[in-house]
Amino acid sequence: MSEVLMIDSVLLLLVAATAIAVVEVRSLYAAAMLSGIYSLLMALVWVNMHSMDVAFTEAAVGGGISTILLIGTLVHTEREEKKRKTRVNWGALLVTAMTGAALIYGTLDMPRFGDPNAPIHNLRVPEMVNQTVGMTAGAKGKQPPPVGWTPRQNLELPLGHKQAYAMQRAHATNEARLKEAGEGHGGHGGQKADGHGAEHEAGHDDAHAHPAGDFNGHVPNTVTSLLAAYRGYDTMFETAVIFTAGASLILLLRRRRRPGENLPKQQSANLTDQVILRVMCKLFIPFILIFGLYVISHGEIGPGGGFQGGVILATAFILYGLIFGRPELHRVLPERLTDILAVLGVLLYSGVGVFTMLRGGKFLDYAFLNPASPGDGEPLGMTLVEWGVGITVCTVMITIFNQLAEEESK
Amino acid sequence: MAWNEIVCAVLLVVGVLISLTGSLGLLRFPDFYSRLHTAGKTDSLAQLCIFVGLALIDQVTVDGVAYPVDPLIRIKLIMVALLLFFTAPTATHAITKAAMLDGVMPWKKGEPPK
Amino acid sequence: MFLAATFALLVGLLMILVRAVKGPTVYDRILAVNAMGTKTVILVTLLGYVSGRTEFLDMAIVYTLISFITTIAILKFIQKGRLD
Repeated sequence: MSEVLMIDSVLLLLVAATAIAVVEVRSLYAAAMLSGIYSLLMALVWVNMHSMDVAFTEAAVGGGISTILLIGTLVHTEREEKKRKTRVNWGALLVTAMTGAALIYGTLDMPRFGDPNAPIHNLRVPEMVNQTVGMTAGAKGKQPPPVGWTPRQNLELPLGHKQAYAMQRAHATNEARLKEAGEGHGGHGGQKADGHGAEHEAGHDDAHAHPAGDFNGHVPNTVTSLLAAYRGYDTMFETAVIFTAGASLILLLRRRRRPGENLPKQQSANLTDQVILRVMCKLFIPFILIFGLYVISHGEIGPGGGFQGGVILATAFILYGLIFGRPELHRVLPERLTDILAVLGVLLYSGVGVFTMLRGGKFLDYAFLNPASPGDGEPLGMTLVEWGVGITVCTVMITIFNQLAEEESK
Repeated sequence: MAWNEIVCAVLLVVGVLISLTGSLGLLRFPDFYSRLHTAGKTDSLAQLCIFVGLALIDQVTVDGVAYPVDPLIRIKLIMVALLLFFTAPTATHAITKAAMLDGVMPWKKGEPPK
Repeated sequence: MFLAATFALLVGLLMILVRAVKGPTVYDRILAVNAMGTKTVILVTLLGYVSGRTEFLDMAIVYTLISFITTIAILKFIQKGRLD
């Protein structure tokens, strides 16, 4: 039994115990706290399985914001769950047990845990590894090609990219320089493959082709590559879902001012009389903000991305609101501004897609962002997209906190 | 074994032992304030020992393959230790204050444990 | 070495979990969450060292930076009766 499996079994036992406790416990505060523990343990499970991006999300969301929002919900309800006589519903129990049994039966067909021959490791992955976008040895900030990497033969570029390359080749100076280097770069359009092996040795910063049928580019973090390119539409609509959540919360809970009516002055509380908290908060908010910005803009290279970074940023603002009171938070970040920014984030994401369409590509085909260097479109497009996601997530989280707190002060 | 690995091992053992005593105290002590005492103090020292110990290591061997540890990672380890040194006591302070305000009374000798 | 430390800390995690489930006051549970947060930061780092992937540390930083905010929110709610 490998160490990963051993740690996994211990952790999963703890997770199961916590889950049962969450259901059993009657105090709602306790349930909120236990769900915090649940998320900590799940983050450890993800780390143990080396799925860093998931663990990162779990840490960013479960570590701070989800518990705060749960407490915000508890503000509107009771501290204790109502006692109710419960009777075992045998029919429901049977259905549940059968569904569970069917699910477990389904897992029997799955590949063994950690099986190197599982389809997920083989299906299209060789092609993905084979592509060259974003992999230039020697170029700063980019990964060297993996050991034993050999270019794929007979690479056919799709039509659009051929045109892009024709444009690129018009840059005569560049081409001349390369020819001078004698790296056989002439076959850029049709036979990309043989140009590439040499290219890595040369280590120049020229643009790279999109190989046909690949994951539409390749940035060092494969997860971001999958999320933002391979299933970019999906991620876009996830962002739209978050935006919709924020919009519906505003529609449901925000107090509206009728013309000529003056709302009573908002009451609020702050913790500024507590020196330790105030100083700590002032000390730490810059760190949290900078780390959030780093996570957003670093998403295509390391673990993290727009969702995680946006939540971290929102946490900093919520901390500020907790310590200094919500009116102060509104002074820093007016409600009107968060509303506009939430819209702008979604627009930035879809705007990148529309822009590539206007440039003659498909929706979210990042290669068309900059025809002079299609290969570099991936990191550029993904950074823009991550920023869109990050802005929306951050502002919507702040809006949710605002609305939960506001309703309570009625 | 190089000197840094020995020091790291010693620090890890010390840190883990302190951490375990803290957990045991959290489980066994009679009331909230004494539990707070064990958990709050041991955590800070244990994390410092463990992170400093790990920062001394310059390569990790897994299945016979040696992976070098980036100097940036070692700086980050010290950074995490320092940050935890600030945040963990703040959190402990906040809990204590909340409990005091809510009227949780300290345990006295002779009472049944809470 | 790292693996042994990981398992020892997992045992500690179990003890904390028992305290979190037993309670009895809500503050014991908050304390348990806090202690678990610190242990998680250590465990994430150790797991990175166990598997030779030290870049796991970024996640530890996130926890360090944001996990104490929950406690502040609870303090505020108990002291002032409101979150805003």
